[in-house]
Amino acid sequence: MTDRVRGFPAFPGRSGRGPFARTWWGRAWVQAMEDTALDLRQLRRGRQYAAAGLVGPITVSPGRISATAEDADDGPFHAVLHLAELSTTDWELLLDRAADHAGHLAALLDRHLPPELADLVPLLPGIGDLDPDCDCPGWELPCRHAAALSFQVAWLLDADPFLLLLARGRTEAEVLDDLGRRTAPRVSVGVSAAEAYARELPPLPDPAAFTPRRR
Amino acid sequence: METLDAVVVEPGGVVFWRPDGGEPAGPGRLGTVEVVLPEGARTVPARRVPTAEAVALLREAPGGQPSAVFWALAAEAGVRLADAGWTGPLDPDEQEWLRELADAMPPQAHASPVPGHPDRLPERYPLLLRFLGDVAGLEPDVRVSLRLESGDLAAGRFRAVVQVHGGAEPLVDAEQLWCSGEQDTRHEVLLALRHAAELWPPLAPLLSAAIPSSLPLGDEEVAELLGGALDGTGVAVHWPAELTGLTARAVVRPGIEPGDVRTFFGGDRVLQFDWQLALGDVELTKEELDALAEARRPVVRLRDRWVLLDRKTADRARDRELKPLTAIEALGVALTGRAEVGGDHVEVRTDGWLEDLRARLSADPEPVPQPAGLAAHLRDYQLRGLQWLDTITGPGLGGCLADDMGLGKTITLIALHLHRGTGPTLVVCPASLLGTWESEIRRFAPGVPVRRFHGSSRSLADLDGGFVLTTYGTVRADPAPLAAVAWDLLVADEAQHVKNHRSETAKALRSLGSTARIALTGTPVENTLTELWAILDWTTPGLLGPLAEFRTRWGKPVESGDPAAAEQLSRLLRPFLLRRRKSDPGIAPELPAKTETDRPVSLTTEQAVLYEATVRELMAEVAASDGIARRGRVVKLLTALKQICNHPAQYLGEPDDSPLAGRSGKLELLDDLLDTILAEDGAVLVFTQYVTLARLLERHLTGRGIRSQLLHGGTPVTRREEQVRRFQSGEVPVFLLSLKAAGTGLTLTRADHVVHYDRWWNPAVEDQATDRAYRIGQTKPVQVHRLVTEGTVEDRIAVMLREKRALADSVLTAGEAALSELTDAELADLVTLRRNA
Repeated sequence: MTDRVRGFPAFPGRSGRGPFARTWWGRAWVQAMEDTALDLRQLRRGRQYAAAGLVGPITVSPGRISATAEDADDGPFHAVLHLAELSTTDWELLLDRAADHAGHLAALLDRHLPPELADLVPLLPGIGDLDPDCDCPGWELPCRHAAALSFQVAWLLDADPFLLLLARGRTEAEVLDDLGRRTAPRVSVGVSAAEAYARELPPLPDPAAFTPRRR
Repeated sequence: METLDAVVVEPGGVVFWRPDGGEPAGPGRLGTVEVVLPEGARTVPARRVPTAEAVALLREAPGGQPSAVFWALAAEAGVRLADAGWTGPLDPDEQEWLRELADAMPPQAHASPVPGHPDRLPERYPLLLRFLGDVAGLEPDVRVSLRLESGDLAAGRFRAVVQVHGGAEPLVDAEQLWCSGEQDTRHEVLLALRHAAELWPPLAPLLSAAIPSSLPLGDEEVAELLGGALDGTGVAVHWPAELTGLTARAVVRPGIEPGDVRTFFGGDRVLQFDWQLALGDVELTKEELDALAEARRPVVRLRDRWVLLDRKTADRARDRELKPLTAIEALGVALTGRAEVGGDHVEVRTDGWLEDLRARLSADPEPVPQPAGLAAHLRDYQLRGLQWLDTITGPGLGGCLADDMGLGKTITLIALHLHRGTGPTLVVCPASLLGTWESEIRRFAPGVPVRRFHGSSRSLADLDGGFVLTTYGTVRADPAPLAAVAWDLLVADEAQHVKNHRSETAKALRSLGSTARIALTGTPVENTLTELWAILDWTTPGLLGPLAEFRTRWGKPVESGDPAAAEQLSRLLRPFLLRRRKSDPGIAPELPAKTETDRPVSLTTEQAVLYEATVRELMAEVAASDGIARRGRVVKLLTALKQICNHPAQYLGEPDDSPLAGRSGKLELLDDLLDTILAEDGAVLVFTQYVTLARLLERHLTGRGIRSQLLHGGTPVTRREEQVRRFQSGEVPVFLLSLKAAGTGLTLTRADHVVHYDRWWNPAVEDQATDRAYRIGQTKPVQVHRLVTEGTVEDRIAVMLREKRALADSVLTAGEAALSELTDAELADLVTLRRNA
């Protein structure tokens, strides 16, 4: 299925101050990465690379986010962020909860991530969940290229929290369909074909008796 | 046409198929459809046709397979709904018929199974509604609304049920949508509710359930919904039909009828202005209002019904008294039926004598018998004008009669004077119209005293009813004696002259006291609201409020094309402004094809001095000669006097740059006439015997920015034809013609006015000229104005010709030279200027 792998064009450079991400979950994503970083210098460089637009097109798929990053020295390098897909149990938990509370789906459709869902299962990366990888010669974790990618992913998540769900294993369509099935009451759908053919048909009503009120 | 195969419907289209699995005939895109037959599910060939085309096919086909007959009837129902302007919710009786229809849906008509359920068919009623929505082309936008239900009104328990229409669903409850509807529609509903809940948080609990189907509401929330909490969210609220709202309106309480209505409206008495609440048409009693004011709940029991009570209405029940109105303000709001209270436009009613007055003022005037003493037969519309004037002047109010020129405003006003029988009446008019007024009063109201307060004759002594005529200039310069008289009627003729309410003239006019004021004008004043305000604020002070307020309340909305504002303004003005046009269907048939009016004007001082000197000098020459020489001098005398009456510049042969304005009574009147005629978009022929005068008029009109053209004996034929074309096409509204040059073959039927600037003595020649305009093919009535200078040879020669039949005949054949047959004494009597005493 093609929408399991989604590509996004490279961001142009951004200037300006203020928080790097706009939404609470975008900031939580940045925070998670910063909390696990070992080398603050690489983080700073990564943030500069991200802001300067040195990261190429980004690909998001279950368990994997990747991009190439330019580097003044001898790039480009290919950076990948690995993160664990949610277990089937976690997905069940998440979808059951969302299905019980129409507001969660409404929020997601409005491109908001309900905090309650993020608290329920590990959607946002915890310590060590985000596993950076890069073919650059440096051996810092994350290196500045992976850090730059990670910073820009926060921008993608700002715009569409469904990408977080994709990275955790399910596409938007899969989530919506699943929720649709879960919320539809378990009542019989339609009428039985056999009964429809078996019943005695009443006559058609008199057309002359149907005179709609003029609006 | 062939009968139809079996039919199932899909969103946006209709599918034709055959139960035997054969390929269906007819139009449409060929494909397949999955259907359930008694023996099980099968995929069969199908043709798909978009709904709009399919509706025509179905309705035209002569029956066929039962499913086709069914959908044909459904298509018919859909078309009827669309024709009725159906947009969503259905009435109960409509629903009942449609449910009956759905119940009669044969199995083949919904044989296409529910996706993922090969043994189940779609529910009949929702499928039918979706098809009807398709047929009626309902808006595809999904709209969410709340239907408030109450199982127990007494306990005030309300439940808001979420319902959805638009999209593929004409109208379903969210509950139903979540069972069978489309996922995209559900998502739109969720988003709409989320956004509405951001603006009105009490909706949020809807979103904590799995399906946002319904929500219990507390009193507080019901009150907020009543107050419009969801306005602007796009989510509409439908209240239960058994609950009614109260109607709030404001009422003017006029109290006991004042003894003297006339002084009442001019005085500073105020009238009580209250809120009134009604249930349907029944006014609530004071006790009921008190109960409402005390109510703590948004639903109250009133007259065995449950009534919704929003905060605003409850406040109005508590604070019932509004700011009192002045008498004239009260009349204004009673007439418009609306008032602005605290930023809301509310309905206004009144009762008692004020309501009687409002009804009388708003009704069409009924004809009254014409007053005894009027020496004329009033036409039907003039009688209606008289009744109208009587209706408004009766209670001491005033108004503006703005009929087209030629409809007889003067005679109507004279009739009003006679009808009221009191007097005195003061008429203020431009100086050029004093003569017309005087001659019309003498003609139509013989025996009624009339005097001028103008120039050297300014006496108001022994005033006993009757008419006093004065000019705007005199009122401005010498208002005191006029202000000392208690006038019955005060009339401002050509009232557009006082459109600037800050001018000295307007102020002086306001200082004059009278029982009632009438403005007359022939120009379409209603086109300029400020002008109209100035006139009506004089006739009926206070009715329209201050100018700035009037502009804000009416000017802007009316100019921006707000039909409700225009209608209210017209309700307010209608009683005080009567304007009829010559072309009105009720008027035109009453008008004679040709009306002739003598227009007497005075000489200016310059003209009078010149006239008298010329009479002295030339009469001496006449007396001193005889035979052929005397004959020549008589003609010279008459010609000189006629030219002086026309304009001093003509007689004196002044150069082309000499000043013209303010020197001739006739020219002043011509200017006034042209202003009115051109304001009516009319066209006019001006005849004179003298090419020099025609040139002079052309120069004068050009200076005033009025397009005119001149035709005289020397005008070449081709140019003549071009001039006629330009006049007939309306390019040039004023055509100056020398009487002799007019010749034959001119067709000038566009003219609705003819002015004879000077007298020809020979009616036949004048008639011939007039007939240039009034001919077969003329569809408009023609008005003929003959300008006559008072007290001069022009004025009296007609009298003499009437008296001396033989002389008249010789003038007819020989022209004015025949007047040389008169004796010196007779001649002197004819030409000597008679100063108007």
